Amino acid sequence: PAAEPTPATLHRSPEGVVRLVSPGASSTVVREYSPSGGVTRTLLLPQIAATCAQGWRGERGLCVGDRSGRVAVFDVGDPPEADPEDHPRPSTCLSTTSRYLAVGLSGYRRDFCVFVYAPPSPSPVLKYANTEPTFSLLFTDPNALLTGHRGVARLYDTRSPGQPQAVQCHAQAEVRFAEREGSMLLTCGIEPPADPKAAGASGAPGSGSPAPALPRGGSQTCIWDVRKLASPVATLRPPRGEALLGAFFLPSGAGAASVAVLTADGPPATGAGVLRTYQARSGDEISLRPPLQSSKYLPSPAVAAAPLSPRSCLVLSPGGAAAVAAQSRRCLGVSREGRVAADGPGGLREAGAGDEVAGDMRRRAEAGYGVKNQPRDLPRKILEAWEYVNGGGGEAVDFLREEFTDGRKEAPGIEGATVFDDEGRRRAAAACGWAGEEAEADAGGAADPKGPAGGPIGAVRAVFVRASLEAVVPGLSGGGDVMALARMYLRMLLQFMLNLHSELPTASRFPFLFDEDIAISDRLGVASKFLPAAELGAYIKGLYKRCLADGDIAGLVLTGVGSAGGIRLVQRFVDETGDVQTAALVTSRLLAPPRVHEWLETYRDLLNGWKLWTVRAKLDIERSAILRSGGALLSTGDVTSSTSRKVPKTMAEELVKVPKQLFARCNYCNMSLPLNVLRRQEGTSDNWLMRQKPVLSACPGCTKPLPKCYVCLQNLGCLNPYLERKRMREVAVKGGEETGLEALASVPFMEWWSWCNSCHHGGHASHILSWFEKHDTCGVSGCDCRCREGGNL
Amino acid sequence: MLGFPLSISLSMSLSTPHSDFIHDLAYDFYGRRIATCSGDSRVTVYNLSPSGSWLLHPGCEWQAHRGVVWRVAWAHPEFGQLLATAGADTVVHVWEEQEGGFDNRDPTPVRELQLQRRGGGASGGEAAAEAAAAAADPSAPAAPTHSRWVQKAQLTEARKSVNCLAFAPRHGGLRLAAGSADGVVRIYEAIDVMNLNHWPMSQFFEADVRDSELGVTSISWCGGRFEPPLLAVGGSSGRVSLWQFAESSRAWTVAVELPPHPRGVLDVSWAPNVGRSFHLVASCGKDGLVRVGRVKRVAPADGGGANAEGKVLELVGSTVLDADEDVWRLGWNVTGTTLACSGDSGKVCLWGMEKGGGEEGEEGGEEGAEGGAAEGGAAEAGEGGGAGREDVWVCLDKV
Repeated sequence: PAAEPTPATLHRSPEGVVRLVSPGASSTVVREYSPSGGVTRTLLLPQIAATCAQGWRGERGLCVGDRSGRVAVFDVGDPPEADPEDHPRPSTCLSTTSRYLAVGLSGYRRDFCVFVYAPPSPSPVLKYANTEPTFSLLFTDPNALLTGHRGVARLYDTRSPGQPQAVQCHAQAEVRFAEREGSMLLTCGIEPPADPKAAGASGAPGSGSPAPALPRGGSQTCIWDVRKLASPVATLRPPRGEALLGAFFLPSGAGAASVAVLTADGPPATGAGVLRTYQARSGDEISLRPPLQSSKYLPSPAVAAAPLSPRSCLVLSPGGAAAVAAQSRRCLGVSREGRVAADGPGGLREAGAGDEVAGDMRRRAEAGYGVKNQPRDLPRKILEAWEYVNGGGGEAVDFLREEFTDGRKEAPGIEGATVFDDEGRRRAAAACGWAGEEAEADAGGAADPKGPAGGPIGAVRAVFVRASLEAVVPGLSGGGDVMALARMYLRMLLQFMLNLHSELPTASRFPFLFDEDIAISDRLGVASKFLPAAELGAYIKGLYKRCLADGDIAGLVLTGVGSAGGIRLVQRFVDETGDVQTAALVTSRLLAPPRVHEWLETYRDLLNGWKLWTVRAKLDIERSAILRSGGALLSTGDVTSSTSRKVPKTMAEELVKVPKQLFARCNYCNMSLPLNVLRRQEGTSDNWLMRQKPVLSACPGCTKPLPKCYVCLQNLGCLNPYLERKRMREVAVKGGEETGLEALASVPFMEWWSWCNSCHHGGHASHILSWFEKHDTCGVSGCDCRCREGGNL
Repeated sequence: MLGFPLSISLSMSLSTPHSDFIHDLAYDFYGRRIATCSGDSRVTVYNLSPSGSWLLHPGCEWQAHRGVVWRVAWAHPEFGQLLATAGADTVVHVWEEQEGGFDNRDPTPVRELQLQRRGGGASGGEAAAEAAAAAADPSAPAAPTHSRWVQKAQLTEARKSVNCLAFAPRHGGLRLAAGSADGVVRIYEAIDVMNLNHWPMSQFFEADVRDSELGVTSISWCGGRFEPPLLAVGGSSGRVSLWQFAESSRAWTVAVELPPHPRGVLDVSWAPNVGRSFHLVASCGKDGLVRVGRVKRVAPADGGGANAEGKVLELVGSTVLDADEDVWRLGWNVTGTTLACSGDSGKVCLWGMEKGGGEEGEEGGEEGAEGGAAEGGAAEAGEGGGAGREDVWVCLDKV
């Protein structure tokens, strides 16, 4: 017979064995798959011509339905054992049990379309589905046959001749897959292609078929509860643009069953396959699971699929079959400390990732990086910025807005050299840390007009001091090669000396002005002395632009910290590096611009998240100390004015003051008990108070007793406000001399109050402490508050 | 400047008692605990022992839902040890840990643990032995060796599976956003933080089209303290949008639409903003792409609203990361400088932004509008500088 190439087919036996039957030109290869997707058995059968439907019977019997409706049962390796009756119609589907063999036929005659044989008897024992073309057939158990027709699926019981249970579904779609799992029933209706020509073409494969049409919307998968077949429990429609290829139950794992739906992303037989699995629970609403696999790992185009295990399927494509396994969603977590946890093929794993920026920040914070103290291993640019800020840079002007003049100064040291000098230039030199040199040089010049003095010599000396300083303190150069740095500065010096007199343009006269490796402050220092006003302004602007582009915080020397330009530069630095720590610290003495507040708060949050509370507290203390000592700068940051100015001390104090958070009051009269509050209420009960001891055991307001300590059962004490007032008056009168304190010296820490914020029970601090050395719960009888936990005390 | 090498390998293995896939994991605020949730409807909490290993204490593994648990999230510790879980059973549960009941030197819980772990993974015995060692060591700090997770609230407003949830940043109060397969994002708020049983739904908005396959798939809050409430929402329709809560109208509106992922969004993650002038929002989708969008507050084009309130969020650039495999989940480090992506193969790829690349034009435009005409550099006035900015991201390491 003229053998047309028959497509390979997938079968899943009732026992769960998945077999791939691929008819070839000379023989038929049958492969059996294990649940893990490996091939467990390969069988070679003689060539089977013109098969339309295949099934499997027992361990050895391959059943083949052909175009004429005949069914041949092959014993593996042997010729057909039985050859049941002939129906001149193509068989479409086969299903077997140990006893029965059922074949489904497409029907165009008034005849039955499902024949059930009991081999080896060649004549059918049961006939079902009169004039109903059958598309799928499955024995769900040894005596129940599930058949799929156009728009309806039926459940037959082979033991009783009665009417089958009918499941009306899918309108005109052909029920290609029907399965049952427990009380759940799955039907998968696939609409035939809309175009009758296309339908005909697909009936005769290989006959120059037109491009396959996209499916219409009627294809869907339904899940039913067999106890109530009136309406489906759930309907799964393929997404728009995808063609439904099939659906089946996955072998159930523990409890819930899973439904897998195979679609083609595009027209059938060309689109890449997409598998989606849904978790189903009978009686419950059916819940969705995400797609098993992204489609690019499925063979393309996918034709069919069969379940191997709860989490894997065998997907068939014209090129062959491939097992695909479900995988987790690869969940991921990143901790604040830079640790990463992820779910992978090896299960859940966790490790620290060497987090660059955050890790550095944290290390530096632990190493004591603060407003006053900077570790020497910071990057050079940051150290440069700090050198400037610590040198009082915050108050310096913004040189971007400075007006320079061409005012000159005598340069007694070197003849003919032009040294410019004016107010702005002097400020620039001061900002660069050259003020001392200048003064010294000026002083020297005054003493000896002929001797070495300011101007070029001063500049040279400054540069040289700087170079040697960096050589001595390797940290300044960011741990780089000290000799290389020294050479670099030497080169700068030589270039400077050689070109001092030349008339060349700036770039060639002082090439080191554009050398990124030389500190900006040194370059600015040289420029402020030897560049004419026009060039100097442009040079500073160019330098600033460069710093902005690179997010180079060392450029602060050009702008000052508090100016708009400075804030902008720090912002660029943060944008570029994410180093909010340096930004917060550098700008910590500024008060006004909201960005500064933001950096500081962000940095404090970071420290809190790393449990570095002491570091955060130190930062707060340092900052308040600076602000209180008058170091605060009211930056004009975002506004137009160019300089920052000092904040009046009182205002700074007001700004950094943190009010007390916790107060005690009298139970009876609601009077606040803290001394500073009591002190204000002068006069009312002074007569009474005068006669009392320094430490009262009663409320100074209403004279009712204060609560008792639950350990010693004595009343708690509070300071006598009268004595305190008296003391304050005396201090005011005598001018600072503190007296009368000896009476208070007898109040030790022991007798301070301490209480639990949860249950509000408390007593003398020392008693409470010793109580909780031995106990976990509150000492008041009947109160089982676990006061010690959670820092309530 | 290129590629700062990172030595990282996910070496420590956590054996899980889950019998199904783990669908989500979350570190707590301090990184000392990990919560996982699974398809077997259970939730597990691991504690980091002083010796640096992850332990599973009794009472830290419980059935949380009737169905798949999709996501788990920790609240800020200020509000206590609070967990929220979102499940396919359309419910969001809020759990609170209640410690106590056992003395921590009592060996009973350890024995219990061993029994429990035997059924778990292969290396369970090892971890249990370590747990026993940790518990036997009297110098070890009193770790919560026994705890109980008590269900505080059930949020049942969703009509379909709840796919994602996230606690708002601390300064926003105790609030919880949950995105559901019905396409709606619901915001719950515990108005009284002392009464965790009461979580009224304060707002909701429809973030994804109604008939998309999975509805809202991912959600991420903006952690910025100086921003109004902002949420990044990804849906299975492929839409990635940033929603903003307007205090005046008390409603959520779309502030920015990020480039979509045509076949559905798998995860979105809003980078912590450490004082940067812009926000980074990463998203990944079934189209196999990872995008990092750069969003910035800029003055609106009509010139109105020079103050911060009037500024609008605007997408100023988007970069596609050249990941050579599909990425499922994203996570930023605490400074928003490194992005971790978990790939199909189970590898975790860390991405860092390469430095440099003069954004001066853009910066100039922004500042120019803000700082006024006093700005010196005339060359910096690049008004249209925001268009099509691309960052360069380099892959740092794979794990």
